[in-house]
Amino acid sequence: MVKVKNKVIISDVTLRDGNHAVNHSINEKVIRSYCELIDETGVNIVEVGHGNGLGASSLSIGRSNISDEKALKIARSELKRTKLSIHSIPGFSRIDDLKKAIDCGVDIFRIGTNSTEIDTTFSQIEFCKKNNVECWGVLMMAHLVYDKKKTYLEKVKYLHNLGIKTIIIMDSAGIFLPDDLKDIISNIKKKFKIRVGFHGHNNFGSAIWNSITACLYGAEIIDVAIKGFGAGAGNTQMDVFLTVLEKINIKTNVKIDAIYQIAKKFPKILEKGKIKYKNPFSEPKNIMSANYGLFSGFASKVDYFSDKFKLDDIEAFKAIGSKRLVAGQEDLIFNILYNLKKK
Amino acid sequence: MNNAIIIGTGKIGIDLYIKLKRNNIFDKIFIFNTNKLSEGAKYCKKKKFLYYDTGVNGVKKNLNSCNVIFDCTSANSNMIITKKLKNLIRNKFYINLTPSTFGKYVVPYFNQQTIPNEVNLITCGGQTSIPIISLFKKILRGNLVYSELVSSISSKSAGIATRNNINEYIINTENAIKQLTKIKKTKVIINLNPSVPPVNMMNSLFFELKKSIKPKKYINLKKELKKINSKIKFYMPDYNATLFKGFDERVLRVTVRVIGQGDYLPTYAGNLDIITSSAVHLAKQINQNYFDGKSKK
Repeated sequence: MVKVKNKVIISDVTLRDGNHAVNHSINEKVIRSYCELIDETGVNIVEVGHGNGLGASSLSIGRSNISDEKALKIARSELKRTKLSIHSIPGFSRIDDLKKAIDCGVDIFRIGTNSTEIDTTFSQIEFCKKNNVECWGVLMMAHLVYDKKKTYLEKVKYLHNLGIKTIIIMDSAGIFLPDDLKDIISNIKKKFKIRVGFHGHNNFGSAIWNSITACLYGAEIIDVAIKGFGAGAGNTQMDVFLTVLEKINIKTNVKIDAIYQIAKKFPKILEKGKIKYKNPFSEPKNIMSANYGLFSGFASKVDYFSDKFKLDDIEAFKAIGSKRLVAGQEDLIFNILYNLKKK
Repeated sequence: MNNAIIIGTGKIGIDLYIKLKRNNIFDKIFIFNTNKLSEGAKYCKKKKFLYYDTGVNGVKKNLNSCNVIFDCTSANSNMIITKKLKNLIRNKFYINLTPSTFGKYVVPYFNQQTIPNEVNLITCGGQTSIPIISLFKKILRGNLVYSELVSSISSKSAGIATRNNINEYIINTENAIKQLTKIKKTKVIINLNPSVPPVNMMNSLFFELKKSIKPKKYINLKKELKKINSKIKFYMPDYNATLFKGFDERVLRVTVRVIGQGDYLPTYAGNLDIITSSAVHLAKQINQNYFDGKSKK
């Protein structure tokens, strides 16, 4: 455990990960009012976009309410102090999307993919470097490389060798426990001179303490969402996280009282944008989802199809778990449940 | 002499070598790269392929006896190599299996009478989906407004070139779909799945319609799709496309499972097979049309 001297950087992913919770329907109105409020709070970074990031609006995953460009331009116009970031998965996004994002004034480019395939980020990272924009590497579904051989260190090394100075460990499945973070973050910090961040999901109710543990062992950036509003069981809940940090004397730039106020207002902000708000919660299906190490973003798709096929949602997750799908393979949920129904 | 050259000893180059050999289309097949220590080079030596590590210079020296050159390198290398070979390949067939933009898009499924000298075989996703998208466009016409292709391939079947060329892959596939099927709006997505044991290549096609279609049309699509299956089976034995009614009446889904023949990589690598099998099929057409099928039978 290290003594945390530096302020923890708070990165708010509500308008990106939260898009999973509402089928990517976050619209102009919501982005505008949310960004306007958050800009006053001292939150360091806001991420905007489709749940699967840049260029991911599609029939297979779900269509965004507005184009990437429009969303980014609106956020840009509201954010004066808070930086604007995007999530980009090569395979969904292409270099052209990055070009547009640069033109929209995005500050931070978070290039990520399922951790096992991290070398597919190569050309996007090289593009960011050439264009002199801040580029982070994101290890999504990090549990896939958390093994006895410490495969995650290999993946971090790959990014480090490309000149990446900041990486984010994403617990996309919500499967990690605090001890895992202690292990991962301290091992990375021991081996590399690199800034590390953590992105949690709350399927096992441990997002807060995973995030705190990450900070205690050297993570400098934490992804959070207002009221935990994110995919599946939700992300690290911002107001709780900030309050606990304060209690154990770890500093941030954020005015907590302002965050409490936004948390209270948030359901209204969505409703004004004609989007139905639902508190994130780990339902049995979400517990099952994490247990199988599945991508949190699957939840809304599984809900939709298990309802249509009249299947039990837990059974649905079990079937998908047995096929070992990873983030991006949303298209195959239909086929797996179709076959399950036929049985 | 009717010989062929393969450039590149990655997964595609080697798989293609094995398939060409088995099909007995050419007298001799030479395979080149520039790194004799690579995994592919070691395999070539072990299997006693006509392998040389002399790169483009070696290719130049052997061009005389060859009619067909298969480029199985990467998008970047393809650009460099074709520049170096420029005038020397003018009267040859240069088949590009990388996702670079070099060459005219060809899907050998559509038996063409004249074959361009510079052929672009697009991508595995392109070879898998274009026959289907083209069929749907023909039947649905203006009612079809958008198509989307999502390909999932196993991590193990994706070599370095594939991983570095994700961007080229998407752009080349989308451009070819638009050009060959005349559809205006299309999107291509690719996923790599790391599961062990590896998963089969799966493709989902989504077709967005202006308005829902009558059952009769649906049955017709289903029937025509079956024809595609049996026609592709001629060169790709385990290709299976199935049409599904989604829950949205304005969206049709087609799932295509592509299982390989297990030549270089095991059968999960259908993505490898669909493009190498297309190349073999094309080589047969070239032989038939231009060399009277003259190579040894």
